[in-house]
Amino acid sequence: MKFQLLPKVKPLLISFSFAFLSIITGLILLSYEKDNIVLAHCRKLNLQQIFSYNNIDNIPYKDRLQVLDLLDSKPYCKKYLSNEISDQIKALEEYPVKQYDILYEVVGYKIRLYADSYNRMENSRSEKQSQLLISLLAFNVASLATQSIFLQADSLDIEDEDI
Amino acid sequence: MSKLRQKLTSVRHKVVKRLVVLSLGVTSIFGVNSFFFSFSQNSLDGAISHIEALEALKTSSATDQISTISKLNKNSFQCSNNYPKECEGYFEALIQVRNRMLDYKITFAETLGLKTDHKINSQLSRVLNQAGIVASDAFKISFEDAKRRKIATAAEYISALNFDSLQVNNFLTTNKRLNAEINILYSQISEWIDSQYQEGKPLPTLVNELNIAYLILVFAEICLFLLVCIIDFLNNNAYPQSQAAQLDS
Repeated sequence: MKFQLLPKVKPLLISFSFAFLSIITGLILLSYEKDNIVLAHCRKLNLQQIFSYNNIDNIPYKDRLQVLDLLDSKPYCKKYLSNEISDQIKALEEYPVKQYDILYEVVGYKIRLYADSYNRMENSRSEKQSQLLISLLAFNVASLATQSIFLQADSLDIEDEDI
Repeated sequence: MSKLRQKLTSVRHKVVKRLVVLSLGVTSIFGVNSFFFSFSQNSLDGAISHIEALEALKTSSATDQISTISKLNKNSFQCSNNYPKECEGYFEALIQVRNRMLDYKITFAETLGLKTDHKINSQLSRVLNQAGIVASDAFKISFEDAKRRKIATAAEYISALNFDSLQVNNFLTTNKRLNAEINILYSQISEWIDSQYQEGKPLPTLVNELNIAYLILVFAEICLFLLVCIIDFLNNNAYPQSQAAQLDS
């Protein structure tokens, strides 16, 4: 049996492709939303650390190391660091510092690096999300437009069958 | 209708029927899984809020422990050296301890959902009680009395004291007990925070569960889409009767 593609089906196939693209875009958006939960959490923890770091002067000098030791990022937040910042943090962690004054500077620098990275990541994701949303709309419209062309051909077919 | 047409139609219709059953099956998988996805997302949200509260408590309690105890010790030394004239700073520290304990009570009850009969709540009451004992035994004016007499500041409190009736030993004993109770409280808080981290599922596990639910959702949606597309295609690419007749001839 020879397979033949009816001419009216071609716009339908194109419509399917656009609908498929819009589904994929929607799923990517859902994935972004899912990852945003953890990213926002890491950002909040970072803000809490900045707050504690800024208030460290209120406690006696000799006890400040105890608080500085608590100001470390969670391991699962490290995946939101850019490669460049990740390398800088690794370099900082290679040399264990015990002296308070140096550690104070190092911890402060690390917290700022994390904050920068989360900020950049959030901005870039928000930009990508808005682009994806526009694409989703465009794919939906394209799918509907090609669907209407198919429906016109289908309507003509119904007319032919009636005759 | 010709035999070929009948044959073509029956094969197509059988395939369509099977695909429809399959798509309904995929829809059920999608439906059940979307419930799990939503559930995993809510679990992750809940766990995140709890971790954020624990992290905030961990840092603030460590800071409080250091600053509260150090402030009490520093001021108690000054207070005992010139008792009770130089006790204004100590009384301010005592009020701060009392206020901090009341803050903790609210945090534990409302943010962290700690039961009222939990040992931390009992210890918080013990610290509050001991702070009250310091005021009523060492300075002979309880917080309630001070409130009744409309004493608003530490300076007013010290000036209202009857110096002759006060003994430094009472102060030293009650303050030592207060310090001990505060230390017990902070060690209980620290233990409780550690136990909370170990009790629930770790965050990466919850994230993995959400990712699995998401992947099933993606797979089910793409499968359903492809199935519906195939059904639509089979229906619309079927030969109309006139063309089928031509094919037969």
